[in-house]
Amino acid sequence: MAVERKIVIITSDGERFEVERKVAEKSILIKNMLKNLLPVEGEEDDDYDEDDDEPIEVPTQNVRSAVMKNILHWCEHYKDHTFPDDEQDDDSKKSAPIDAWDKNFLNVDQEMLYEIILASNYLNIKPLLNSGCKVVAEMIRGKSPEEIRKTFNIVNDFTPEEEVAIRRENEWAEDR
Amino acid sequence: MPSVVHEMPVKRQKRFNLDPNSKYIQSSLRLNLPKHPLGIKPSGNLLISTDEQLSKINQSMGLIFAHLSDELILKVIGYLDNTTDLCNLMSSSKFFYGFISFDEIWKNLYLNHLYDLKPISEWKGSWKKSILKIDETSSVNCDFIYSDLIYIPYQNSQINYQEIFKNLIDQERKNVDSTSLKLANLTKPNHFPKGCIPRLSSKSMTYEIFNETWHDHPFILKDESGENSNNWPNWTLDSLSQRFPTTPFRQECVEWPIQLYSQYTSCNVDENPLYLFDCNSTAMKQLKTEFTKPKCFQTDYFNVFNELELSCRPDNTWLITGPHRSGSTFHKDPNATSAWNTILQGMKLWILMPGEMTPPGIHTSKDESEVMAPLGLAEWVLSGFYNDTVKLAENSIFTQDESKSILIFVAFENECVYVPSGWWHSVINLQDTVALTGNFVPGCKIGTVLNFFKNKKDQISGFRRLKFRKFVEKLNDENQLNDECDECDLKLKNFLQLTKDSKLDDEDVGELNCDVELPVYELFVKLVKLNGYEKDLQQGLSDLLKIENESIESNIVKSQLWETLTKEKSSGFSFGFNDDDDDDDDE
Repeated sequence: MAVERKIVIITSDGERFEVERKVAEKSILIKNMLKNLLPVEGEEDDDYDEDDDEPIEVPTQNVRSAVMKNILHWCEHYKDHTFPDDEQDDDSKKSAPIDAWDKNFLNVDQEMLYEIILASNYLNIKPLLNSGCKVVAEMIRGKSPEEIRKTFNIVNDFTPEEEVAIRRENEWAEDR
Repeated sequence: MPSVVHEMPVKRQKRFNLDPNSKYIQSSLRLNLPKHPLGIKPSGNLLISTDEQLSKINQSMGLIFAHLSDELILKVIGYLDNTTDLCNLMSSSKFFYGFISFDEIWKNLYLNHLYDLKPISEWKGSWKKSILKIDETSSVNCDFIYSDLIYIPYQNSQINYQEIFKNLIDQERKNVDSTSLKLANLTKPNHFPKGCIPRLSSKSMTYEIFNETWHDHPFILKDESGENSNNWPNWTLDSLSQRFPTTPFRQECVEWPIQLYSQYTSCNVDENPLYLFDCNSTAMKQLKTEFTKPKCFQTDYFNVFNELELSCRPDNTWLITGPHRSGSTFHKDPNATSAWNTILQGMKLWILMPGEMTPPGIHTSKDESEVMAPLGLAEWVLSGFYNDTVKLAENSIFTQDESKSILIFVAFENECVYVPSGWWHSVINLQDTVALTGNFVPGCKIGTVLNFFKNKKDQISGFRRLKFRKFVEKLNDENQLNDECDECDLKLKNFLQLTKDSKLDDEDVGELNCDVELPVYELFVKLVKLNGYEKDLQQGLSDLLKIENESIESNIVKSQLWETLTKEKSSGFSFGFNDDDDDDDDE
């Protein structure tokens, strides 16, 4: 009789997170990894042995615990949600607004935001990665160059001549 | 100051240069690094940059972006859906000015968001300039940006095929001139030197000779010199754009008048330039009446799909026009058709490979329903897959099977290339090129096509559901489907019944999975019969049987092997790891 095995995610700083399988499998990276270690859910495990009571440990060297906590919070929220096949959605959903829950979830400081983006990229959690990138794009939208610099802490490194040239380039563009 | 970190593999380079007749290209071409207009360099330079340089880059990128890979930055920018946001970001620092100079960003903006709203009216040399309607971009020094994502496509866009393939082109011109090849008209295919494309006289090539002897051999059909009547129209990009200045033609994802496209061809920095591939424009309808196919290609059994004034035949005659560097990566032609392709202006590099091989740099699923060509043409050539193919071609000269060797050759104006059914082919335009092409099914290939329709149903393409149904309906109305012992009649009638209430769209059958399968095989059999080609059909059906048996045999060999292995396992044998010592398991 198959008992649901425990999955423990271990972060770069050694913290252990015990999670349900379907939560962990929001990460396609982990899902593919488990595919090789565990029977498909709902199927009998025909070579059961004693090791099976041990939890499966999943090390994630690239993600620290504070970030993993957030990521798992997101995975927990969507654990019963099936996302449409992600591969080709990029163009069609490009203009779709950010999901409201995600927007609120990603209302974090900039460091956490890019860490969540990097972690969701590494763990292959496409819907979260998409939302993360959309949030950054949203931070650009409607802002002047100066406002963009302020938002992202960008240094204006154009020479005065370059600045004049670019301003002219933009004026021409706006004119028509 | 270091600018480039690559080292030259000198030895290999030498080896390939020895023989002027060699088809190999210099393996060091990848190391030929053209200067990016803004000074952007390959990523490798990051490894040798100083802390000072790094902090300069990071400040120009800002907190978030300094931590993201180029691919992720591109993804974020891809969510910006208007020119104003893009321009503002571009004006915030050198990094963003440089990054957003990547024309792919503007191309995607145009295709995803601007195409319907603000179509480009004049091409200005790049997507960015054309969208912003500016003649010049600013000269901003971005020489501290190191990015393969931006640099490599630029490098690929600067490829000069005529220079790279100079030997090949020169050699081919000699082949064209050598009378021996040209006049050896209709000798058997295996009388030609291997690895050379035979050039045959269009005058002497009859359908019979073609259908019996040459159908599995690529060749070039040529009007003999001295004949003053050239069969092919002398269209050029210029003449077409004068004749049809405002008619839209299909160029992949856009439909532009040829005048605009012609501006585009003369100057762009796209890694894979848009290729005009048009079948149904109003201009093309006119143009189709202005030439005749070579006589040996005129017998075409797909014409049966045209019979009822209702044609449900997939598109089959195209004008293909593209700038230098455009072309197509390896593919097989649809529905197991054969093809002819005539160059009216320019020249093309052709690489033809027998269907049972897998071209270098291409991934296919086992049944070839999926073909992936992950690299663009220039990348494919520069990263060594072209040379791998030459090597395969040289090896194939020594294979047993006389007929099946890889061909790499250049075709010139007024030369008509024949591509046999099921052969892989990749084509690169070495100059701005105008060509005509058509797909067809000669008699000897009926069996191959029947096998495709019957056993590769999921790969059938080009049939449109609505047209297809109307066609079958008309057959039924004319009482052609009344034989209750005929399986085709039954299946076609059943199809009509099944689709009676469903709303069929006119989508290509290959595009989306439909709940009802189109009985293409049955309709083809029925039509060939109705048209009185009973004899050809019988031959086709017996060919089909042969093909099916061959494929069953090869499967049996495989499954027998599998059975043997698994059987042995169940009786205690485990792949050589014998268990004499601990024989308490199994059993």
